[in-house]
Amino acid sequence: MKPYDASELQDHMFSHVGKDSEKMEEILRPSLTYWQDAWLKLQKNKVAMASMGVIGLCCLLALIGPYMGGHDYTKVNAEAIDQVPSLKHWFGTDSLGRDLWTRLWMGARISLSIGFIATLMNSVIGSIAGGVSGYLGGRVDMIIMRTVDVLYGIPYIIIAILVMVVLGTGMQSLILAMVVVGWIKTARLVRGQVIQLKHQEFVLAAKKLGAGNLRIIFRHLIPNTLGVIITDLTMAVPYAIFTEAFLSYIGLGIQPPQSSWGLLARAGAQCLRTAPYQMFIPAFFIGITMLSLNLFGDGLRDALDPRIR
Amino acid sequence: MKKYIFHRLCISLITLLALVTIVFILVRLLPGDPFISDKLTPEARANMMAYHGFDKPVYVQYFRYLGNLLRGDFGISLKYNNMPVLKIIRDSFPYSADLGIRTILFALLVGLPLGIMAALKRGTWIEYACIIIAVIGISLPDFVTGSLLQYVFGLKLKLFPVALWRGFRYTVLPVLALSFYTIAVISRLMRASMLEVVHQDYIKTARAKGLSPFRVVWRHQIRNAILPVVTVVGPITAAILTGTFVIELIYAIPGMGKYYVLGVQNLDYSMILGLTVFYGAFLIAANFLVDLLYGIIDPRIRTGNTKG
Amino acid sequence: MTTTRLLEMKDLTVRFATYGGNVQAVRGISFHMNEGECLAMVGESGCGKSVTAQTIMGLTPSPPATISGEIFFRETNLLKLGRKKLQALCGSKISMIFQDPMTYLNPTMTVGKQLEEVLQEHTRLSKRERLEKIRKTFDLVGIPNPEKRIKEYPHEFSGGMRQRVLIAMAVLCGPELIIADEPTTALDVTIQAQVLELLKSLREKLHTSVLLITHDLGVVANMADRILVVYAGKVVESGDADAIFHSPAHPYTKALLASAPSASWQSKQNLVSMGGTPPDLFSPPVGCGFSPRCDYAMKICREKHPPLLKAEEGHLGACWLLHERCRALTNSQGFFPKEALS
Repeated sequence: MKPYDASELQDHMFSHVGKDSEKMEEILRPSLTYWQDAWLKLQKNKVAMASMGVIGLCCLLALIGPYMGGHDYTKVNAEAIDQVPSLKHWFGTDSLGRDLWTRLWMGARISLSIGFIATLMNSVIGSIAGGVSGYLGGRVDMIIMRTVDVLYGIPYIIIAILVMVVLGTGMQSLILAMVVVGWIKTARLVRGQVIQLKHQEFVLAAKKLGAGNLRIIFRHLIPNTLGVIITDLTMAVPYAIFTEAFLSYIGLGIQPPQSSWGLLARAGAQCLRTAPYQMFIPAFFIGITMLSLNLFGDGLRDALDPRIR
Repeated sequence: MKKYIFHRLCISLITLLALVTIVFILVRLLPGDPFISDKLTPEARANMMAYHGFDKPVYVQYFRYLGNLLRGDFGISLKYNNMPVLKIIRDSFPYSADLGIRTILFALLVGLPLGIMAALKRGTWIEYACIIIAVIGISLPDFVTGSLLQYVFGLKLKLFPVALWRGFRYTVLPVLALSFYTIAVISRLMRASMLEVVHQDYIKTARAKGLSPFRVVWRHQIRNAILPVVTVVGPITAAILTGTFVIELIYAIPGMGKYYVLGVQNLDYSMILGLTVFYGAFLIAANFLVDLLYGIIDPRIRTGNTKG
Repeated sequence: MTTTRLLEMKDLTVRFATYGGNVQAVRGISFHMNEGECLAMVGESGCGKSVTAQTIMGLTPSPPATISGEIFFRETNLLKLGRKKLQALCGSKISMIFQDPMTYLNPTMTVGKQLEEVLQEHTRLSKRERLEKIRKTFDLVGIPNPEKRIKEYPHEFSGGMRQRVLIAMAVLCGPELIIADEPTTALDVTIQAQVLELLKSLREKLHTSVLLITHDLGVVANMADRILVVYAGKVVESGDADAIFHSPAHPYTKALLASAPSASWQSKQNLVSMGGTPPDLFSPPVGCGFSPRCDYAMKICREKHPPLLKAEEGHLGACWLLHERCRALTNSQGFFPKEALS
């Protein structure tokens, strides 16, 4: 410790001032709400922000892309078969002479919407099931959970395939097939979270203060579970897109003349030797979309995690 | 531990029953009456009727169906000239199993060290390389990787054969393609697990005891970090299994997946149902084995008597 | 008779670089320990005492921490010691007992193995000799049935027994210094007493010095020879245990003692609590850290941090009230409550 110079100390400095009630309880860092904090963290994550940009771009192109090329995605043109990318056909043509750029983005519409819709439905159903089950407990919980446990053991894609075989192909059956068993993961997650929250003190306090069940669910449990739900949702979208691509690839999903990314990959695989670009282009976009969604999901999860500062 | 095994076994059996029942129900929902299709020979139709017993009441059909399955009778293929599905399984499953086992082993051999390295060498290029590999692996579907590898290494560089399954060289590309996703999942999980474990208090104790860093990592960190990875082996097996569908197709491997996909495309209902039940049962059994394995590895479950 | 200095810490500062900025966890702590004595480090959560203790053992990773100062164990500066040499010391000559025995023991390793590895690392005993030593140590710390318990896992022990396991790990190699970081905080009250008794008896049997870190004064009263009071990363008072309990020099210590509930109180007495919270260590205060909460604060307290001044022989306090100028002023002009100095 540096010794103080006696000359620095003057008599008046020893006058009494006592407690400083302001400074006593001072909190120096501004407090943010959970969502503000999460958004700030997310913004700092450059990778996540870039991914969000890519996803946005893909969605945008899905909307306006087909109009940009000036071609009709179903128009078969026998003279323009298997052309490499050029100024006229930006991504080339396929084996029936259809413009790939247009087909890609029409396909994007289908693949992306299936991905988002199916995931959203899974999320809603799963959250409700899991939330009710976790909150009510008792017999309801047991029944739902036993069902979930059993269904969880049944392989997802196998059931999806079976449902597709029974219902026939097309967008609606595809979504249905994916939702039939897809809600289970979310249900488990939400149930676990609700059970954990249910026993925390703030719920107990709310109850003691006279809050009814509904109020507790909406004002306390749901906001705290939203973080988990949103993260789960974001991570599930790429899987949904993959499932659609997979099913279309083996011939069960979207059928021609409609277009989806899986379907394009399938067609491309068939002429890999002669016209590889027909495979690589849809493959590239599937990959980059799933990559961006995964990276964004990672970033979102980190941002929503209150432990990571 | 015994209680745990018993509990898991019960759930597995019930799940199996549920699966079989769902398949049964879905069969009854097939559009039109597939068995009146003119593509069937009278013989085939007779076989189908006998197998499914359409002329009898539903509950009788159900038990007859269960009985068939227990006897190993999975029905008869509609397309392959009345070949029993069981024979198809017997002939083709070994190839799929071979592919699958090689894939899992390869994935573990590569994925675990990758994840461990990424966690230990934080902030270095090693970590970034591992993360990049992992993220790309998760994002590329297996049919994409399969075709890519086929094109680059098989067709262009001519390093490996791209079809059939006749020797070690034939296995390289398919296994690589199939394992990519699994390697990514395992390494990501292992890395996350290692990073979480390293903050645990018992690591502090280990360091305070003056143990060498190697010992701290090997005996304390890895041993605990590997537990979550074991739990994920079940879903990984399922992913690899569904992966075989497309990989076998792309690489013309005479495995069960190929038959399954062809069956689906040709609407060979018999085969689809039979193989579905087989796949489902296989995965349920695999999950059960994984649960068992986990129970043995985690001492908290193995001894079962937790105090205090 | 001169007692040999076992441990000497000189002006230790520890700074952490975090997401929110730099945290000055330890802002210049100095003290010494003699052979065979028990020094208690007392303070609230977050005052820097745990960080200090863990830095002695090299458990504070730097980066992200920046450490400066010196820590001498006998003649060796621990902060300048190479990793291997530090490893050799930790676990054998200096050992640590941690707070929560459940989380501080590896759940996937038998207790016996966790003890054995200490011996494997620091000694050349054979397997049989190691097991024998472990058994003896179990007897020493009061764990019955050693043969059976050596093969069990941490979750099969009760809380108090687990803490005994941690203690056994610490005394296995006959250390010269045991650092006990909040050894009783995570335990039930009844078990706390047992563990403290154990520590006391071990201290006597093995002639080890103990550095006891705690926020609980009750724990200190029974065990400590000397006490160090820490607040906001600095030492605010140090001296013999008796002296500090009977005539605390620093207002913080006074408040701490006053707020500790005592069994001898009448039921109608109100609980006395200190107002306010400790200062934010992201931007540490310029003057005395306690002054915003201090009844006796003076203008100088806000502006300059007091050095450690002498209250009595061997009893120091970091408070301007102890400064001769202050004493002189109040004695003559009396504009200060005299109780402050009594």
